Amino acid sequence: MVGTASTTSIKQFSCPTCSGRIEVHAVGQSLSAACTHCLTIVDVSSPELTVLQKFKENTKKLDPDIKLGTKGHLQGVDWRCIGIILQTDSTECWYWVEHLLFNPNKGFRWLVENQGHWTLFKKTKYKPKKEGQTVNIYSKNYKLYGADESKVVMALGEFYWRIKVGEKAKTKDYINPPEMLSMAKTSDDVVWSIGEYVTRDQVEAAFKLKNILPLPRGVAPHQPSPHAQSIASLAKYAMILVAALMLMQFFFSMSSKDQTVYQHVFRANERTPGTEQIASTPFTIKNGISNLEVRANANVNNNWINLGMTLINTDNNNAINFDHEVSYYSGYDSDGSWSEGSPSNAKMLSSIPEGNYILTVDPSNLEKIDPPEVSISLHRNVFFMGNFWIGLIALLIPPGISLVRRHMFEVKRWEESDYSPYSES
Amino acid sequence: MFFAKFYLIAGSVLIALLSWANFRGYSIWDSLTPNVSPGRYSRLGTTFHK
Repeated sequence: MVGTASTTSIKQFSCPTCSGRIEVHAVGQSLSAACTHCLTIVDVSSPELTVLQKFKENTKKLDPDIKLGTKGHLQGVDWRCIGIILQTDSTECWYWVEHLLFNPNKGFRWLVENQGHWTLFKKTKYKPKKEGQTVNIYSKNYKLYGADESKVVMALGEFYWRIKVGEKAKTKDYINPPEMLSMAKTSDDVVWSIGEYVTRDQVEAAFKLKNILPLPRGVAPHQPSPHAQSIASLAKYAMILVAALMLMQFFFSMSSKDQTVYQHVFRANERTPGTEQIASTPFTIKNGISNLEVRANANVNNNWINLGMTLINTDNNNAINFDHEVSYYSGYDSDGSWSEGSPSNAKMLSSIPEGNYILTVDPSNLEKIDPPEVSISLHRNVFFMGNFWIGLIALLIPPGISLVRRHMFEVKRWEESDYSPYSES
Repeated sequence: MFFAKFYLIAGSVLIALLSWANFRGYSIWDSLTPNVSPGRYSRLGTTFHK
């Protein structure tokens, strides 16, 4: 029954219940060990090997993904898994597995698996400073995520306290992704641990496991956001691009001349005999290709005119047809005076090449206004904002979408928390 | 990071295209209006016909 001291740093004992082999790697530090065969928990701190807890023969055994005794290299340190605990919460609906890792020089760490997400915890001797639902330790703030009770359901291997299946602890978890600060309070002690999120790939690589570990489900409380870095980069580039867009628009405004190329008052009695059209005199547009703004002004007072216009290039007979409505209405009602429309209206034609032109106007309702005439002027190389606004919206869409995705990730992060900043209450 | 770099390149191309459109007098928004249509005309006396 008494264990034999090994020539290495491992001590071996015979289990008092089933005589199975119990190994202790953290000699002098582990106080209890659970037999892997019959699950009996034995006090290994004294030669008497007092039985702390016994279990029925057919008690279901834990079958962890990382087996007891597995060695791994995680975060630059060699570890051996010397203890495994299955824990549950107060509802007994959530279960998680905690692996006790040991390195003779570094001591103990806990590698915890919960819903496929992994965290490497280290005990901290410092107590954090509390500020409402936030705590501060090592100059970092951690927000309260959850408060509950944990219960040990099953244990395998050795532990640095006298573990007991069924023992409970009051727990509180605080987060500052990718870190989690956990508090476990028993009748004897309060233990604070800081955990860092470790990916499934990192754990698989560390313990040389392939496709064994469960896939992550949902978002872990302290899981780093995959959008955080992309948001920062997108925001930086968006600022650069918007600045470039504004600079471009500034230079455009400096170069816009707003030249008047033609101006005429079209009267109703000037219609070409036999037609509805009024034709302008020929005019010339110079200086390459640019926009052309057609401005119409008429004395419409609670009335309207519609101008069916055609700009004809007499060099090649290419033409552009467009309609131009000028209307203005005003009055009084219970809310006061109102107005709709304007006696002036402008229409932009894009990319009009230089050349010789004629403008024909086919007016409707012109005779019904007083005087029955419309002043039309054509302006070349006019400043406009349309392309700027389209560019600005297009540039802001990707960072906008990233912001929304980041927000949705954060909402999902806090979904299981009673202290969610996104809850409606 | 790849998406951010792609965004920078695509955004730069967009600004270059908008600059070209501005200096050619091409307004994307006004070009979407349904009331402008191209055509060809022939002169008949002093009137123009489609």
